Formats: sequence, structure tokens, C-alpha cells
Amino acid sequence: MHDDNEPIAALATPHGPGGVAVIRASGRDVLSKLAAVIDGDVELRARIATPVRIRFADGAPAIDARALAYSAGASYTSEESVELFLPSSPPVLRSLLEQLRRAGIRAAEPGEFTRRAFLSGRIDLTRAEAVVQVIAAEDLESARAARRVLDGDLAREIERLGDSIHNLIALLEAGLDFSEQEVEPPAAAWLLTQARDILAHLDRLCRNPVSAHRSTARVRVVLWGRANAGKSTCFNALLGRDSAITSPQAGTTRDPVGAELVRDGWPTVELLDLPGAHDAADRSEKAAIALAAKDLEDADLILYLVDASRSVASITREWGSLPDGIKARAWLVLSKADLTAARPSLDGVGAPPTQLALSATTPGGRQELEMALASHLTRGRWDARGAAYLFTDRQRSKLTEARAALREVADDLSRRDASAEPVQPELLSIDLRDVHGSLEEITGALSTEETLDKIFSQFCLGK
Amino acid sequence: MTQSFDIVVVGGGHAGCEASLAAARLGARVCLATLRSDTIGALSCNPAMGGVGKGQLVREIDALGGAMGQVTDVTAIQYRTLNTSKGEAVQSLRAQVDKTQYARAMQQRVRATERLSVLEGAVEDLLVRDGRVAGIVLADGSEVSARAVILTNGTFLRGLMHTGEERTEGGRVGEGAIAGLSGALTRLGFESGRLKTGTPPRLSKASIDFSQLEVQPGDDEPDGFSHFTPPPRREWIHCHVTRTDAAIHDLIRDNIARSPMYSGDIEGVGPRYCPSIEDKVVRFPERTGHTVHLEPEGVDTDSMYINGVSTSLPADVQEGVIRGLPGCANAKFLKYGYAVEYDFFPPHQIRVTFETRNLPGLYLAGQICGTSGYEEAAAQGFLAGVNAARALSGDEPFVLSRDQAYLGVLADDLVRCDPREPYRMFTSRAEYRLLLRHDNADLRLMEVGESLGLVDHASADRLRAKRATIESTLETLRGRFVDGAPLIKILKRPGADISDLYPIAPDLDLAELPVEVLRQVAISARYEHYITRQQNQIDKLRRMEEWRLPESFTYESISGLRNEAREKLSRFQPETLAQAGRIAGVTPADVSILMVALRASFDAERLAAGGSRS
Repeated sequence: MHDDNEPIAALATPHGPGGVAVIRASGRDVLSKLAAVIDGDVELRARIATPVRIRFADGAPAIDARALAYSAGASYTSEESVELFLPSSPPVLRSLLEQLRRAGIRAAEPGEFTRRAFLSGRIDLTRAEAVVQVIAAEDLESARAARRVLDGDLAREIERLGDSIHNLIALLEAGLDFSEQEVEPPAAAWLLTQARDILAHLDRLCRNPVSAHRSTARVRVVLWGRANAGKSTCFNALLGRDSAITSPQAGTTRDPVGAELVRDGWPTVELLDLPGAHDAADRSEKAAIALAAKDLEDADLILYLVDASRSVASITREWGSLPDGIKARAWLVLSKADLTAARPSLDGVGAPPTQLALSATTPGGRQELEMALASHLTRGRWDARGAAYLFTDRQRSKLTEARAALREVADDLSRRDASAEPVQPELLSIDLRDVHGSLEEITGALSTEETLDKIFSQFCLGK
Repeated sequence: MTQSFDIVVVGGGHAGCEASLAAARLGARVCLATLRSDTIGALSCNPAMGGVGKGQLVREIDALGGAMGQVTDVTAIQYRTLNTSKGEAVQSLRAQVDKTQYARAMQQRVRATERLSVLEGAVEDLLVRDGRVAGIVLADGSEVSARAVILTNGTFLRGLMHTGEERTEGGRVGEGAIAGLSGALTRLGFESGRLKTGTPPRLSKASIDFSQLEVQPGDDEPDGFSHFTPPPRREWIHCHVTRTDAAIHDLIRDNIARSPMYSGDIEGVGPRYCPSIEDKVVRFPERTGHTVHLEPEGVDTDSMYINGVSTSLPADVQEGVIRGLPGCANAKFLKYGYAVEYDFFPPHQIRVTFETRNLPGLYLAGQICGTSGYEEAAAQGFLAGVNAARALSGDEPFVLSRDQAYLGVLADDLVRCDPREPYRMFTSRAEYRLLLRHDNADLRLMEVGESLGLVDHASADRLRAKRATIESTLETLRGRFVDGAPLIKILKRPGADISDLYPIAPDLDLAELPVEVLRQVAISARYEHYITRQQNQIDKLRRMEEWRLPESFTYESISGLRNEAREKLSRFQPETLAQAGRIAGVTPADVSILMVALRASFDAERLAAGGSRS
């Protein structure tokens, strides 16, 4: 059970670098909880933007922000609330949310602010509809991400399985309702064959599904490596624009730069260009590295860039020095491949899972990386070779449920077949309906009261 | 001087009979208006009651205090339990009845019922006063005033019979049609549609050579339908079976253009589950034969009903088809088969109480709502009659839920269906059919009938005693262990019979218990696991059933809904959120949006009322 007024916080503005970001926090005693991260003894008064300095426990530099407080009954959620206005730097924002969590203000679930607004009676019917509409409009991105999976091959695949099961149910039902017309339900042996076919299909569908959140959430790809390894060049090449300033000078990138990479058929990629590591000199660079650690931790994929013209021994040493946790999610990208005559043989580097050559400045030089990314990011989409889809935890669990239920059906049929015991169509039909129900829940065709929670969870975070 | 009643029931078929009997027994002064009083309770089509899904309806009507089960039991000439090779949950009883005796027995009931009078005449119009129905107008211009009117016109509204190219106005052979009422309803803003149904020829029994036919016997010792009378015991008749062949099919194909269905003369859509013989031949060309059942229409009549060859082909083709059947070479026709087209009023225009949405006091029940079947009609008539009477005395509406009765499934299905063909009950329509068995209708509904005032307390007391014995026996079987396993577990084994327990636990004297108690114990044990599962689903859904959608709800203004959902919801006006979710074309996302809008509007109401928030 959720505590209805438990303090929550979330970023209310779009992700990524930008001018001003707003973090919204709401809930019981949220102001006094916020005091734990604010320097000094500042009194936050309702409806007055108060300058505050936010302390970071992890040693990151303090950040100046403005806090706008709302008293209970006068906010969007009707709860005591506060909005923090601060520079939109993804690592800083992430750090701040983490700080807030430690202070007892947990991350809001998608749509939780709006949900609270509803439940408190704060917004009326027309506003509610407006929100639904706005959400539908503004959430196109995740809608697209979801639809790629659901409207696409996966949905068709599951619908087809659902249809096969539905067909069996229909045959069983016909045998019950039309027995006067000499229609008999199918025999156990035939049903068993059908059930096993569907089961095999389900098994194939479940094979090596990729971790859950990627299908609907964004994928974070972080560019990392030593200063001047060519990260920003790579960043620009992937984006096809010049948002990061690049130069041959080491340390050109001082703040993390982020952008969205949108490609047809890919999940939305949050591409982050981090300041170079290792040979940083001044203090602010060190702080940036501390923040980078957080970004690296959050990354789904790290493109670790090294200058291909360096010696194999030094590349091997550098790769070997990376923490295992990072290596597990990293690809070794040999940049500036256009500047070297031959591709170095890197068999001895402790076998990074993927080694790629990148020549960002020549047409075709990016192809290897592009193709690797495409195959990685769309991995899990169904294809005839038997690869798996990307599943969310919910889809996974429903699929597993369906499979377990169908396996029981098959076991029962096989026992009946062996012992020449007749099928009980009225019971088998119920069992198959359960299987069908689980599949329907994946594609969303089945309704329960929990759908209220679901629709709210489709709202943009912090809306 | 105008006659005045509480309720006028128009039509004396199965819907009209149950409606007027129930309403009169509940205290209303009822007038049953019919074209001909001697056709009250007539079986227009087949001489049978019950069947898969339908038998459950008859048992339920009986348990609630309706008439159909008892009248069937006194006039049945054969019973068969269907689906005996399958589980109890899907078994049903079907009876052949003597048509003449059935109608006569029903007429006796109508005559014997206090506060119920019969009026002969064609009802051509409705009286409306202050936005409510106020009575009826007969063809001769006379008026009968009433506070409620229940229309159960069956196939008589602009009824048109087809036999080949021949067309006759009327809802049944030998009787006329009602012309004006459809127009009156249309003028009142009702939407109408056209449906078709058919009936096979009737042959002279004396002209059939039974030696060439396969005999189909019935059950020797049937339980009968009624819970209130002892199992019927009399001399049972047999039915007979024959079969069409390729030559007959060729004849039909050669003359297909002369069938009004195919020549385009019939606009109405016929039932797919009860197709005419020409439909069967056209739609299943690979089949070289179709089963035909020869059913006597009674004990003392020469008329045989030829089940399976419903047709509207011209008379000469019908003769060729029938005479091609084994045993029927010299068959003499008493009546030719025909198709009948009629007006109906799509049931989204009624509520689950069968009262129309736009004319308070007016109820529709039976085929006029787009259904088919005696049992479906009777069920609706019963519900309409009870509700009309209760509404007049200010009582709460009487609504059965989907997990309570097939009657509940029927009503709930109807209000959100757009029949493209006549609606018929099937067991697969009842998602909780393991609970809605024909063997436990009394356990489910008799006390409901008692609280309505249609079942006497003594019968309900007997039912309660039976239930107590069933429960205590189950308790005993759960608690008594043999070889480490409770006795009830033995009953769950495939093929187990309760008699298996007699030698294991002789001291329990199980054999002394009434048969119907033992049967319930065995079924409960066998289905226990599934029944628990269904019960859980019901509990989950019940919360959605409790979300009532206000009548004033304007779906046009809810912008999150998809257009299709908005149209369907506006059309069907669901009464609860669960009902909304069952409408085809309404997705879970639509239901969620409705839920949001509903909650917001409740909150707004609460705020407006100044009430405190929870």
C-alpha cells in the first residue's frame, strides 16, 4: 500500500542539458525534509522564490537554486510542495534527486503528481480530461517506444498465440454448446499437439529476453575515455551536428553534454558526452569526474574511446585498469581510425566484448559503430532467427504466467491421452482462458481495476 | 368507459405469459392483450423446451417462481439430458412437449391467476401522458389505460411470412400481423431493425415409414425441470432420426434462386446457429448429409416437426426435399416450412430491468428485443413482469448478476448488444458456468424467488435444509481422513463416484442421504478447485460492477476516449464500469479513462455538496 502523502520528488522539465530545470517535490513535511540538503537556516515562505544553496553529500560542489514553496491546499497536488529551479545539468539533477531520496523524499512514480491531484479533488473533470489529452500528446515518445514493441511484431506474435489458444477454446465450446448438432470437442491427442506447438512458440518468445526497462525507458549511452580520445567528435558524428565543441586540445569538454539520439526503430537514446578522465588537472575537473562516476553507473552502454594510433600495449593497459563493473557494459571504440594505417590487433586486451573502429570524419567510417549500435539497441526485437523481444518486467511475468499455465494444460492432456481418459472441455476451457488472459494482459486487451494505476503510470514523470 | 389496469402485457407467448403471471402474483392488476386467447402459450416452432444453455434458463425461471418449468413437466412426452459425457456444469435437460397440452396448461394457469384478465385484440398504438406510457390503443380504437405496458409481440410486428415466392402477412401461420405498433414505437423515437427466423415443414405422422428410421429414445427416469413438483413419470415417446443426402442437396442447389433468402426478398438476417437447410447446403458444400430429427408435436396429434430442415423454399421444392429423406417417401405435408421476417427493437434501448430508456413505464421482452427461443423469451418476460410490478409499488429494481444466473447473463448481454442475428443463449456466454449449473438453480435462486414473493416459504425452508445437509456433509468429508487423505480427495479422482465412499466410511451413512444432496456433494468436490478460482475472479470484478455510471454521463465530453469507444458508450449507455468494459470496441484504456473521469466527477460532486473528503 502506498502512503498517500509520502513525500515524492521528480524532475518536471525535460531531461538533458539546458537552461533551467525544475524539480518538484510534494508530500507531508516536504519542506522540513528539504532543509536537510539546504545550506544554512533558510526559511521557505509560500509563493516566494527563495535563493538557496544545495549541499551535496558526495562532495560535489554546492549549487545555487531558487525554491518556490506552496502550502498544503494551495499546490497542484494539494499537498505541501516545493519547486526547485536550478541549472539543467543531468548529473547534478540526478545527484540532487539522490540527495532528496536520502532525506526521505522518494522518486515519484510516473504520473504520481497528477494522481495525487485527482485523489485530492484538486482537479475537476475537465482538467482531468485535459491532462489525459496533454499526456497523450506529450508522451508521444514513450508511446512510440511502447508501440514499437506492442503494435509491432511482438503484439502480432502474441496476438497470433492468443488466436491459436482462442481457436482451441472455440472448438471446446462448440463441442459443449452444439452437441445436439453432433459437434464433439476435439480429442486429447490432437489438443496435446496444438498445446505443445503453442508452448514451443512461447518458449521461443521467452528465450534470452533482454533486461526489462529498455523497451519503454530510454537507453543511456555514455561516451567515455581519456581526454582527447575523440569522444565529442564521436558524439557529434552520431548526432550529425556540432553541439559539443571539439578541438585537438585535451579537456575541451568540461561539462557533460547530453542529447537525444532518435533513429527509426531504436529506443530513444540519451547520449552523454562526458569530460575526459584520468589526466584532469584542476579541481572542477575532479568534481566533474566524481559526477561522471554517477553517469557511468547509470549508463546502459559505455562507449570507451581510445585513440587507435596508440600502442597496443598502452591500450591494453588502459582497458585493463577500468573497473570490472564498467568493462561489463563497455565497448572499446578505436577512434581516429582514419589516422592510422592499419587496425591494431587487440586480441590481448582481455577480450572486451566488442571492439570497433571509428573514423568519425570520413563517410563510411562511422558505419561499424552505427551498425553495432543498431543491432545492440534493437536487439530483442523479434526476428525469424529466434531472437527475443525486449520485455518489461510486467510483460515478462505475464508471459511466464501464460507459459506455466499452458504447461499445466499440456501435462494434463498428456496424462489423459496416455490413460485414455476423456478431456473435460468445460475445465480445459477455463484453463485455456487463463492462458489467454495472461497473453491479453501483455497486449493490454484485458481490463481490471488496476488499470487506474496503469493509466497514471503512463503519464510523464513529474507532470 | 375506458378499462384501467396497473399493467398491460401485449402478447401471450412465452414472454407475455411469464410477465403477466409474475406481475399479477406480485399484486398488480394485469391485462394480457393478445390477438387470440386460444394461442396463449403456443409453441410456434419446435415442440421442445430446454437444451444446452436453455435448460439452465428454464430451471432458473422455475427456481425464481416462474411457470415454464412446471408447465413443461406436466406436458412433456420425452426428456433427454444433454452432454452427459461431459461435466455436470455443461449438462442440460431438454424435453419434448405436447404442444396442445402445453398451451392448454398455460392458459389454465393464466385463467386461474388472480388479478390477471385476458383481452383479445390487436394493439396498434400506445398512450403516452407526461412522458410516461399510459396505456394502449386497440385496432378498433378503444383504449386501455395502464401505468406500465410490457410489449412481448414476438414475430408479429410487421410479420411477413415467406414460402418461396409466396408472401403472407402474419407472425405465425393462420394468424395476422400487427401493423401499427412498430410505427408508433418509431414515432416515439425508438430505433428498429429487421430479423428473420424460419420453421420447417410439419408432416403427417401416419404418412411416415418409421421402420426406415433410427430411434432416438429419451431418459427413463428424468428429474424434470421443476423444483416444486415430483419428477414426472409417464409413458415416454421416442423421436426418430433421418438424414439428407447428396441428391437432396443437389435439388436445393438447383432451386436456390427460388429461396427468398437468396433471391433477396428477405432483408432480415437469420440465425447462424439455426440455419435453414438451404443455408446449410450453401455454406457447407463439403457436407454430404445433415441430420434430421422427426419430433412428434404431441401425443394425440398427427403432426410431426421435421427438425433440421427449416426452409423458405417453394412448396414443390420442399416436397422434393422431404420425399428424398429415408422414411419420408410418401410423406404428407400438413404445413409447409416458411421464413418469417419481423421488426425488432435493438435492446440497447432497454435497461437491465427491460424498461425502455426513453419511455418510462414501457417494457420490451422476448423476440421484440432481438432474441430467439422460448426460454430466452420466458426469461425476459419474467424479469420484465417482476420489474414492472416492483416499479409500480416503489420497490428496488430486480437485477440478477452474471455470476448469479443465466438470466443475469442474458439481461446484461442484451443491453449492450446489437443483434445482427437473433440472440440465443449458450453456455459459453456464461463465464461462470461452473457456478451456474442446471443442477443448482434452486441453491442459487430459490431464496431470491422467496424474497420477491413468488416462492412459498415452505419450499424455501426445504431448500435451506438441503443446503445445510450438503454443507455439513462436505465438512465431514473434508475432516475425515483415511490413509492420510481426506475423504473429499477421493471424490476428486477421475471417474470417482460418491458410492466409492460407502465401504470406506460406512458409519457416515452416506447412502441414506437424499440423491440430490449426494449429487451436489460430488459436484462440489470435483469442481472445488475451479469454483474457487471463478469465485476469486468474481470478487475481483465485483468492484468494477460497483462503479455505477450516472445516466447523465456525457461521453462526448470525455476527450481521452477514442471515437469508437465514445460512440459505443453513448449508444449502449452502460450502467456500470464493468458493463462498459464488456462492450465490444471499448478497450481497457477507455475503461481507465472512464474511471478517471468518474472519480473526478464524484469528487467534484462531493466538493459541491460540501462533504468531507476521505
